Amino acid sequence: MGDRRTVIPFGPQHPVLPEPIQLKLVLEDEKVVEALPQIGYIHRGLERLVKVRDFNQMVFVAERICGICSFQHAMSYCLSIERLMNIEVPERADYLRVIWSELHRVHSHLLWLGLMADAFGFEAMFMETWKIREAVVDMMEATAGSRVIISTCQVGGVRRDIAPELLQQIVKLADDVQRRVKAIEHSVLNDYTIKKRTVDKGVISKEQAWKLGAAGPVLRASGVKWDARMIGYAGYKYLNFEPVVETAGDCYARTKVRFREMFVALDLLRQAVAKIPAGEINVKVKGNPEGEAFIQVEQPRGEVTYTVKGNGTKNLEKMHVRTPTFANIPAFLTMLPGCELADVPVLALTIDPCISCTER
Amino acid sequence: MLHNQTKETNEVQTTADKLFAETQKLADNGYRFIIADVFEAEDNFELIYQFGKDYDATTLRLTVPKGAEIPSISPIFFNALLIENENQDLYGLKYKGLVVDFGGRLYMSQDEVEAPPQSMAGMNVSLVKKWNKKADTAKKEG
Repeated sequence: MGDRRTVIPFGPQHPVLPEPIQLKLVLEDEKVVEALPQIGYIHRGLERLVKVRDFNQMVFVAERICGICSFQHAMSYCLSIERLMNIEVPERADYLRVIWSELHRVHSHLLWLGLMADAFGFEAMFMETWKIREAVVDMMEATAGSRVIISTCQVGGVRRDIAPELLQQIVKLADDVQRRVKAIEHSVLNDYTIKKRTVDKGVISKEQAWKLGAAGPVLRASGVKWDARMIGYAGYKYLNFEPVVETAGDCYARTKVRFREMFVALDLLRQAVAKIPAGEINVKVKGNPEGEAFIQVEQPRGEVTYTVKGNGTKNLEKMHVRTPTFANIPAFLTMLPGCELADVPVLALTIDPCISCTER
Repeated sequence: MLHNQTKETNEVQTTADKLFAETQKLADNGYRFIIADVFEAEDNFELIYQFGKDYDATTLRLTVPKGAEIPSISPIFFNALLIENENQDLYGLKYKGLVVDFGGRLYMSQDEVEAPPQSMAGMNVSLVKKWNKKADTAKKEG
C-alpha cells in the first residue's frame, strides 16, 4: 500500500492561493490520505517589533498584520492595551469601532465569495461580488480616507469621527448591499455546480471542530454557537445579534455561514447607527502599560487572540497574536484525508486562508 | 494574573511534570486549547497555556529552565502542534512527544518531515515515513 503513495506539493504558488503556503499531499490514486503544511514563505516577525516601537506606534504594526481584517487587528491590540491601563473608552468610540469592524466583515466575506466563485470558474459571480464590495470599501474611504488599512483606531478610542450625514449614508449602503447580496443568494446557495462541489466535502463534526480549536465560520458551520463578539467587547455589548450557525460541517455549510453573516453584519451596522450617542471619541492616555492581558476578538475569518505583557515602559515586553487561519490549519488538515485531489482547492478556500495573518 | 476583556482568567499554576495531566483534565471537562504563549526571562521561560470553554478562559502557567524538555500537549489537542513547533523555532524550546516535530524548521524547512496523524478522532497517531528522505537515501545508494 505504501508503495502506491505519491506526494504532490500543493502550492506555494497555486491559482487559488493569493499568498504562499505549501501542502504536501500524500495521495493514493486521486485520494488524499495525509497532508502536511509548510509555512514560512512570508514570515515577518512583526511581534518582535514591540522591542523597538512604543505601544502607540504598535497600533499601526498590528493593523498591518492583515490587509483584509486590518481594523480588527488594530482594535484587538488597542483593547489589550486599554485593559492593561484600565482605560474606559468613550461610548461613541465603541460604536464607531463596531461600524468599521462590520464594514470590514462585509468586505472580507464578499472578497472571499468572489475568490471562491473564481476557483469554481464562476467568473460572473466573482465580478458581481467584487462589484458589491467596491461600494463597501468606498464607504471606508469616505469615512476614514483609506480603503482597506484605515488607521482609525488608537489606544483610548478612535482617531476620527463619522459625521451624521455619513452615518445615514452607511444605512443606505447597508440597505443597498443587502438588496444586491440577496439578489445573488439563489445563485450561490442553490446552484447545482456549487452544491456538487461543496455538499458533503471536507466535513468536520461539532466535536472535532471544537477540539481542534477551529475558529469563526469554520467552527460555527459545524454547529458550535461560539462567536467572540458575544463576550461584549467594544460596542457589541449594546447591540443584539445571534451568531450564524449551521450543522453540516461541510464546505457548503461554511459557505452558507459566511453568506448569512453578511446580513447580520449589515443589521449590526444599522443598529449601531441608530444607537450611536454623541460625545467624545477618545480619551487621553497617560502612563505606560503594565501587566498581562489576553483578548479575544471576532474577525471575519474567526477569533483572533492578542496576548500582551507590559513592564511599565513605553515598549511592551511581549505581544503574541494567534490568528484565525493559524487556528484553522489543524481543522483543515483533518478535512483533507479522504477527499479527492480536485477538491483540495475548494477545501482550502472554505477556511478562507490568510497567510499574512498566519505568518505575521 | 491575566485579564481578558471582561474579567480575570481562571489561572492554575503548574509544573512541566503535571502539565500533560492538567491538560488532559481540561480536555475531559470539555475545554478547547486556544494558544500557548512564551515569556522569556534570562534563564527560564514562562509558559502560558490558554484554554476555553463557552466564554470562560482558563490559564495553565508554568516556568521551565532554559534547555529543559517540556511535554507536548499535541497528543491531547492536535492543534497545539503548530504553536509548539513555532515555539521550538522562535525560542529554542524543546517539546517531548510532539505529534509532528518539524525539528525547529516549521518556518524554514530544509529537510522533509513526517506527516500528521491520519486519524484525529481518537488521536491514534500513525505517522508516515519520511518519504522524501527515504527516496533521497535510495537515490544516493542507487
